[in-house]
Amino acid sequence: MKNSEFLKFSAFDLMSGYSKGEFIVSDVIETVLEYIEINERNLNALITPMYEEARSRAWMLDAALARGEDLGPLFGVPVVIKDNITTDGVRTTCGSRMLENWIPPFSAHVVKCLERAGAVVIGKANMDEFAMGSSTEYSAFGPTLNPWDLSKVPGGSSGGSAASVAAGYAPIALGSDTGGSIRQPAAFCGVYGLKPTYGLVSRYGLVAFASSLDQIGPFARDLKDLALVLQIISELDDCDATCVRKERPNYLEFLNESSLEGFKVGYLSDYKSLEIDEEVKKAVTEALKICQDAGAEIIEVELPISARYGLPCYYTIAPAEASSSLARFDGVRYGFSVEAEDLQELYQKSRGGGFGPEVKRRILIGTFVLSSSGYETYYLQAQKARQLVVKEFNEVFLKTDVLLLPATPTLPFKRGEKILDPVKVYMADLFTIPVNLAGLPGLSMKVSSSSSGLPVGIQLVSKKFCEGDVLRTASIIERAVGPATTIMGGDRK
Amino acid sequence: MDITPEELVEDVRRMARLAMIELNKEETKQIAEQFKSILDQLQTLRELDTSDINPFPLEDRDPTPWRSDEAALWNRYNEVLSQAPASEDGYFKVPQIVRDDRNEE
Amino acid sequence: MNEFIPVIGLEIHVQLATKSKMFCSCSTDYIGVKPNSHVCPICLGLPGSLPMINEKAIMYAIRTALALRCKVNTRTIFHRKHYFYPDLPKAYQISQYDLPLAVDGYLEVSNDDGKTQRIRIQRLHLEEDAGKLVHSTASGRLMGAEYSLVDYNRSGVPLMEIVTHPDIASAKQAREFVSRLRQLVRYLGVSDGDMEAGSLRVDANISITEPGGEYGEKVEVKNMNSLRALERALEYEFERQKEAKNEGKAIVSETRHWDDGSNITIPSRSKEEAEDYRYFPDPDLPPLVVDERVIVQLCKELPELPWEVLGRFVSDYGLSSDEAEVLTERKDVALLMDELVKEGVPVKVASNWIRTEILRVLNERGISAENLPVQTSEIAGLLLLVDRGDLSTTAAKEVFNLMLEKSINVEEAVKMLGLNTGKLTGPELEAVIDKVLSENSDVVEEIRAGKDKKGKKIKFLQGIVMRETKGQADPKEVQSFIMSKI
Repeated sequence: MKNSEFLKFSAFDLMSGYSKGEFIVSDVIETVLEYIEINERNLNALITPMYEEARSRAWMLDAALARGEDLGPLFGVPVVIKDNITTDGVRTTCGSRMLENWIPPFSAHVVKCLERAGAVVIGKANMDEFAMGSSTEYSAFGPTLNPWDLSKVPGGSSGGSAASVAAGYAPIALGSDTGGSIRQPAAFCGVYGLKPTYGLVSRYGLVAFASSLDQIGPFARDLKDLALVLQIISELDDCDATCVRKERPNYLEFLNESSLEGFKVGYLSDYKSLEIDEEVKKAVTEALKICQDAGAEIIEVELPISARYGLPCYYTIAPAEASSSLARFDGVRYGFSVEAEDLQELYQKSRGGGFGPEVKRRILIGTFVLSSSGYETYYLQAQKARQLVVKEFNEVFLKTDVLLLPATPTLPFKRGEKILDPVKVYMADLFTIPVNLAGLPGLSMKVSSSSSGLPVGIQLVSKKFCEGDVLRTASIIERAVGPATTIMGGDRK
Repeated sequence: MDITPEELVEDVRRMARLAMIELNKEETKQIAEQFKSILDQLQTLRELDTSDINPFPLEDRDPTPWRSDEAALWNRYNEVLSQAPASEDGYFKVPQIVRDDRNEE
Repeated sequence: MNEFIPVIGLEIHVQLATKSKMFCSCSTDYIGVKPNSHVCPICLGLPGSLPMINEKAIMYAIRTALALRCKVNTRTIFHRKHYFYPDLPKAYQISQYDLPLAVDGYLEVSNDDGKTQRIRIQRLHLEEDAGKLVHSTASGRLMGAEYSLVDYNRSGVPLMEIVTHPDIASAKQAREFVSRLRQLVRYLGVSDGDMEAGSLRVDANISITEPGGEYGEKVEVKNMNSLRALERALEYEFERQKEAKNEGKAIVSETRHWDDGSNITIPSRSKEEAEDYRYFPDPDLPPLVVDERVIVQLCKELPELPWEVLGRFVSDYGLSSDEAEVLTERKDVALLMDELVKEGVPVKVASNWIRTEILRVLNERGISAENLPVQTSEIAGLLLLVDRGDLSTTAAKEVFNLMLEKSINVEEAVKMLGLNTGKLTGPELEAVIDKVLSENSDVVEEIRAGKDKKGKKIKFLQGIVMRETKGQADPKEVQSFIMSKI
């Protein structure tokens, strides 16, 4: 029995309904799939909706439900997976022509975790090609639109995942974040998006972009859902050497605090004079006040190194690592391949034809900074600068527990507005990039709406493996501003 | 470091060869222009005094874990060739690697 | 004519005999296996896959490094080495660059004047092997093949790369170095060290110089698939460079490959640009940290090294160094020697037997000494019989062969052959001789008539007797008996 109310439910709401016998998984999944079919014409949030797979999975879960079996912690919850995370037997394109028809023979660790927990994967989300971009306009499968305003971008590169959650396709989604690709679209789409500490979540099955910066993370409309997904996907994996062997705390427990007494929240002393949207400044101010009212001590901090050197540092290291990660796409074993007379032609034409312009640009920059003539001047210097960014954050966190920053300098911008100037697009990640460079956890959340009805978000950052501090602060703010909402087709202006 | 536009175009061509990506004239020109503005941005890093800094400090990272030496069969190996653009008799197939320039043989 | 000497450095890749590959659990046992069947997402470099280091590979490499007296780095990192080639699935090889596993060791070889020389080891590091290519030409050669086929079974197998300083001064010395290194890795049990099968590969860098002069242009020589090929290739290359120098021509720094068929080195296809491998530390692998205590333990656990066994055989057993060389060339054979001596077999007897019969059998059957279908104690027993004179060497060989054939012990074999392990002597022997002489009375007459100037006929009779007595008679006794009766 379908019910459009399901589309607004959180994961916890759904699971409560299942256990009370109020509805079954197929009811929810049918509703979701039908809704997707209608809305995809507008949103284009999914590259591969998984109608068949989701239906059969729902059927199997309902059988388990009927037998009274032990239900997992995410039982029957629909989830959208960004299309650079492998799903066994379901094509994984990374938003690129290069992998348009690639079907991975294995699932990512995080996907296995979710499936073991009982979740239902309903589709693979659209994204900027190979995670390079901040607007999901660089996808080979067409752009995704912002559910709040179809003329605007949803952000990127995990635009499809953010839009899916905002539009009610699923209460939760997975994305990946290398320079802001979860946090920025989360802000643009008015949902929660968390980039975990580097090394908390296994990257096995995440098609690499920049291996020292990439992390998989959750989107949700509800903090409890977000914390739960984080708990499940952060399970230690023996297949990722960078996945840290540390005990994972109970993340849900951090949402129970009602006060920030004794807690320090830092903010950029000059944020009001930065070249960022007034609405963003307002949101930061509002969020700081909420924290203060809850008993936190508000502290001024400065991040001059990150501010000035974060972007060039990132735009040296990320393309360098990308040029390496993407070298394997050569038309020999899988992916886009061109008929050629000789090997060199095969390589050059397959890579020339399979990659989009932004990807090519970054590969070439990356090749340059790693080449014998560029290595010391650019790459090595950037890695050294990175150490200075790390040091700067370490010093700041001696004075404060959490940082409250803008998530992104602007409100969601118009489609086509920035795409002509790549450097302009890069600026969108100004506040998110340093967090990746230092490997810290960062959460984006909606604090208010702009006068034009667009979501305005802020970012919370903490020390390594202190997701708890970020969740705690977020829950205090959520209590004041309310949880994220879906924007359904009919609600749109 | 002032690079001329011609040098930039040559740099882009050289990188395209190293990265095995075919670019047409238009693409090369466009990317060369973008290269300039991007490299200018990256140059900012030279302002930093990094003489004392180790770019890859080994100490504060968790060491890499090891795997015990046990062989296991991955039973999906048959599927891999099914997605190969070209294959023959259980092998992946690639076109001519080296042309024979010599006339004898 | 100028007095040129070769300056040679070697780069050796040793495939490690681990069960699984360097970064994944696929089996390394790829010979004769269906193509692309020992593969997985990791060694195929599928998008999303990540490497996980094989503990054994590290242990084997450290063991080798310690035997070569290298300094082992307790913290070491892996780098990515980038180039495009069909056998390299990620288009980069995970290798090591400026912080390798071990540095600064040496291996001793002998000079032409018989003295030992240390060939210094610059570095020893770990990396992964590439897949295998099969080319469509009739000869299987790469040049001009219309297409090639790729098998990734070998991709990801652990390799140990050992690089020497250019300390090697002749082709012969290069051969010896590789031979000793091969012996070492086999003794350590870290590799099969088989050049023909490809588990030990050698590339050489050779230049020429005049004594006290500057180093010349280096030429890299590849495709030497046996010790013999190595020596001949370097000899040829030295001559080629000498000739060029003498004719006033410049030596081009290039890569050449050895053509075994025509016995020359040929320039490999030159590339317009030098390879730029764009090394950088692999972000998927945090630093490898090896505890000091582990290194100390591995050092303690090092087996007796080949040159140590050789030294012991010379000093303790009093063997000549040539004999000792033969006996210690293989670890299993040296072990057998020790065991036989422990069982009481005299050194000389054991040494002879091993160098003749045992090695023959091992080579014929292509097996290791542990796999002989005969117990060491039984071999010892047999040899003790020979030593006591109860069995002649000839008879013993027959006994041994039967023991091998039927996997039986000495007693059973002797019985089966109808031999007495005692000598045939005195009246019993005399009886046999009388019989032989009467059966060959015509020959006896000829000898008596003085028609055996060269003693051939006597020998003939002796031979018959020895055959009749199945080698159990003492030849001297036989001779004296015959002489006395004629």
